Amino acid sequence: MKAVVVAFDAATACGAGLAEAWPAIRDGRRAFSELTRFPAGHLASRLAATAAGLNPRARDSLAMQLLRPLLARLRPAIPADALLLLATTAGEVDRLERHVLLGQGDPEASRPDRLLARVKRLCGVRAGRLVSAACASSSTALALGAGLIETGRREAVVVVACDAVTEFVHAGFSALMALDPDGARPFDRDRRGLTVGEAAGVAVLLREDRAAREGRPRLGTVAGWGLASDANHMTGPSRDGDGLACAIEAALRRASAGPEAVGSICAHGTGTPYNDAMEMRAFGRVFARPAPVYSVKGAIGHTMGAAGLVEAAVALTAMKAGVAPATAGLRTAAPEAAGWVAPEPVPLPPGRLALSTNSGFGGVNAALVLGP
Amino acid sequence: MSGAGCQLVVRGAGWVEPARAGGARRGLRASPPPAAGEGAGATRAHGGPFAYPVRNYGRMDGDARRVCAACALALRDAGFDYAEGGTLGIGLLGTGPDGSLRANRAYFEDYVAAGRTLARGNLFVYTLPSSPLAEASIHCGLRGPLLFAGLPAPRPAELLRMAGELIACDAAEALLAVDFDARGALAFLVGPGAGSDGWPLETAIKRIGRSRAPRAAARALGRAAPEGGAACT
Repeated sequence: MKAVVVAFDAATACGAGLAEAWPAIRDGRRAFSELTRFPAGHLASRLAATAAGLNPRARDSLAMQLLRPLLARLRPAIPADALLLLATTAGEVDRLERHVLLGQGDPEASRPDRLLARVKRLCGVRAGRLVSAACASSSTALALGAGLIETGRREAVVVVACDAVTEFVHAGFSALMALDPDGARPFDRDRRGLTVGEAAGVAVLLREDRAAREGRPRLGTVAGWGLASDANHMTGPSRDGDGLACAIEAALRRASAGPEAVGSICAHGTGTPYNDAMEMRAFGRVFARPAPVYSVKGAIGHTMGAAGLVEAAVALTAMKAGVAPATAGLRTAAPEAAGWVAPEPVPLPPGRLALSTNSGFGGVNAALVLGP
Repeated sequence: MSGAGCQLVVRGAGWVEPARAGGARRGLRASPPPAAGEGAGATRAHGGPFAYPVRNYGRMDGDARRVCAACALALRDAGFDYAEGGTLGIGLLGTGPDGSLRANRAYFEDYVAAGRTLARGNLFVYTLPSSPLAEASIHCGLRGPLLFAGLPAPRPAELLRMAGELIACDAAEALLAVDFDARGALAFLVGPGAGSDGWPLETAIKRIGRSRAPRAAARALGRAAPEGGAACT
């Protein structure tokens, strides 16, 4: 039995919800700005994609500030019997920052199980698990949620994802020389790195028959998914793209679909030289002909653990709109990406599936095949 | 090979505590992974847990060393050999009480102590709950899914249940399921098989019960002889 997506939304630097953010994402408008949340002058980039209205001195963590309004809107769509899968990499690490920098609060408050308990309350559910798989956290959570529904273990799953722009994360990526000082340009010939972004996302998955019985809107399906590791390097992807290609092939097998059924690819597309080259190698291995590839990270930044859910939500929105978003920041496509990516929106053929991929530290790879 | 619809068994277990390490099957003992150094002296040839020297061992944090060692021992306990440059279609599922809190503190306190000007990349790398699992995946060549899950108590039993779910979902052929904290690590190799290949999953969950210490849980498992059961063909 398929997992049907009956509700989703995301808060990003482009807007507090996807309805507001979609035009900017579609047209490839960059939401990068100079950081004011913490001193960044000494770091490799002063740019980040921060959401409007967050207060780093507020009682709530940044992640909770992103999540509260989103979950308040979506709470009516979350069944009480849903299993919560909370996906994040750093969660409420700003609580740890406050403790170390200002001596305020308890560092234990930044533990992920504390965040899980808070989000469970906001969702109104009893059961929950944290899922953390680096920058593939929320695509992994969506895959697991779909798997639990397909095998009859669950009827309802709510996937919640969040990660915020913090000094903790920004300084770390800076130390790894992974930031582009001028802002990320995924798949560009002159790309130099990523831009950190923040986001929260929610997706409610229901078993197909229950969704129909309850008259829920059918916003899409998780038709297939695949997870695989490179077993190669802690921070760099496998150069040959083999791990990602394996994940994509597994997702297509599960969807009973061939590569020709895929009409668009929402790539991880961080803007780092190695990631984007690896992804194109994987796509080239799986797809005989170029399919429209896009990355939203040139618009909303790299939203880390939230990236997979946000990008799946964008892919579903793009499928419904019949248009693949522009790859923001793209000027001249890298040779390996030429013919696949575009700096402007691309019309999509109807009736095709969407592929969404993510990879992360430690060589994790996740692929989702999304259908109508 | 697919685990979906087959009987699942715990094929082996490895455990690491501060002063000792070993497996669930009688006779498998090893020295614990050293706290520092290059790890070359922690190979099987030296009585240690690893099949070959662990690359970048000296750079790893304590969690990563313990997880790596427990995984190496679980594979050995199950009779699976791994070798440098080889790969196995096995995934990694990890859990622990506090995510990467210790690594987060080590990294950020170091950054602040250095005047908030330059962070250390080699500390930042371990600020993901999944990082210790990634080191084990790289060392043992594990190409299946990799994820950290925050689970309720009793963690080892919940971990085995989730591993069973993941294999039943066909996410992986087999999984190393690892529970780790500041003192130790406990890894199980879970996969399809006959009872003679290991301990049926439900039996293992019952045997482990609420055991918290890695050695106690592995010993509780090891006291039971593998049972008969239907093979997965």
